[in-house]
This record gives sequence, structure tokens and C-alpha cells, in this order.
Amino acid sequence: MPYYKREETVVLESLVDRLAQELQQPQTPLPDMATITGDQPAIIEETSHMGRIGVTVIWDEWKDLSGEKRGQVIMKAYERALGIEYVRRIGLAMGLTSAQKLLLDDRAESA
Amino acid sequence: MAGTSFFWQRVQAAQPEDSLFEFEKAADRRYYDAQMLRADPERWCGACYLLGYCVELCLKTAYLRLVGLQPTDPAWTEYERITQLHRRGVRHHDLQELARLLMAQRQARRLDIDPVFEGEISSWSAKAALHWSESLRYRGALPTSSEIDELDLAATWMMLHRQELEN
Repeated sequence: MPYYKREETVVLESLVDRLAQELQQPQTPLPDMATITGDQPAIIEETSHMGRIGVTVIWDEWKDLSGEKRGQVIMKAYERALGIEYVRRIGLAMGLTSAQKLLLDDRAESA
Repeated sequence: MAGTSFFWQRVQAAQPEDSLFEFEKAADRRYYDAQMLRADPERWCGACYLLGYCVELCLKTAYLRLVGLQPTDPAWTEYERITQLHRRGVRHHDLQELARLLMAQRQARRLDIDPVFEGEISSWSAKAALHWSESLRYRGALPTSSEIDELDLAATWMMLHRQELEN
């Protein structure tokens, strides 16, 4: 019988740490033509439904993670960096890769 | 000939108005129809059309449940009244617009919203929208296997989370 140990927690923790570090940088307005390469996390906050914060993070580091896991990484990183009160204001947490973001932008432009 | 009628006439006579319950059953039926078509790569365009349609139905029925419709209520009449979108309009086929309507309703009704789940609704709707338009029913081009896979995953995610979507 194979005997496995899933190492995912370690991977997630390093992603949480990296994202939390990024969240400690000062926030700046999103330029109209922002270049997002995906090699470092690009965090975009916008006002979502009912005044909650919608968070989209574009990052290629998590290309092999499910959407749900990416969302969990985002929430943990926010809690670590900005505290639970800030986290309570978040209404949506979505993680994309740069390729996914590009596809969604192209579709939005063609719609 | 007395006693005979055409298929659609019989359907309309039996069900003059589409109920919410029928919408929900339609999501099941179209999902399984799509899976049958998936077995044959030559039928993948039809499978994609049905998978996207299934996503549309899941989002729409969850929204209607959330705004208080009961299973026997006339779904289209209520949908038009609440959203001000005509049933023949194109916007109600817009999967991302439907997801936004649904999420706004979910967030208006709940304080304990799970942002990760909301992110999943948003991203699966967006992924489905990449590969789907209601106009696909007029087209015959074949998708790649990764395209139909992604649409299938989106439809399957919606089907598996139907109860959570409407709570």
C-alpha cells in the first residue's frame, strides 16, 4: 500500500506569506494600462456588492491550485497582513493567473 | 385530424407557463444531454451549447429562489418583473451579468458571506462565458478538448453547488 504525505500546506503557507508581504506595501491607484505579468502577485481591490471589497489577485505562482485554494490563500494573507476586521469587509476573493486575466479582459472588450 | 397536435402545442397545453421547478429540471436534463453529446467529439459544439445553457439555468434558478419564488411560480413572468429584462432579450443570457445579479442578491441577504465561494461563482461564470454564447446554437464549429473541458467543469461546479448558490 503506498504511503503518501500531502505537502500542500507547506506550499500554501509560503504563498500566504508572500501575498501578506505584498499587502503590507502602500496601496496605489490602478493605472488604466497596468501591465500585469504574473511573476509577482498583483492585488486589485474594488468596491463590490453592498459596499464590500472585491479582491482579485493575479499571480502565476498558483497556476496549479484550484480556485477555492487560491481564495483561501487570499483570505489568510489578508488576515495576516491587515487583520480580521479588514477581512470581514471582503465580499469576494478570486485568484487568477495572468493568462486567465488576459482572456477575461479580451472577452470583456469584445462583448 | 381530430385528436392530433404538434409536439410544441402539446407541451404548451400541458404546461402553459414555465415554473421554477421546470427550470430546475431543465438544468438536470440539459446537463445530462450534454454529457451524452460529449461522448462523440463530432457533437461537441452541441455539448458546449447545452453545458453553457446549464450554467445559465443554474445561475438563473438560484437567483429566482433567492428572491423568493416558489417551485410552482411562473418563472419567466417573475424573472421579467424583477429584473426588468425581457425573456427575449440578450442580456439575460450573459453569464457574468447573471452571476453579478445573483451575487448582489446573495450579499444583500447575508452577513456571513464566504468570499471564497463568491470568488468561485465569479470565476466559474467567467470561465464558462469565455467559451459560450447563446448564439452557439446557430453555429457548428468544434471546440478543442481543453475548451469543452473547462466549460464542462464550470457546468459541473454549478450543478454540484446548486443548493449553496440559492442559500
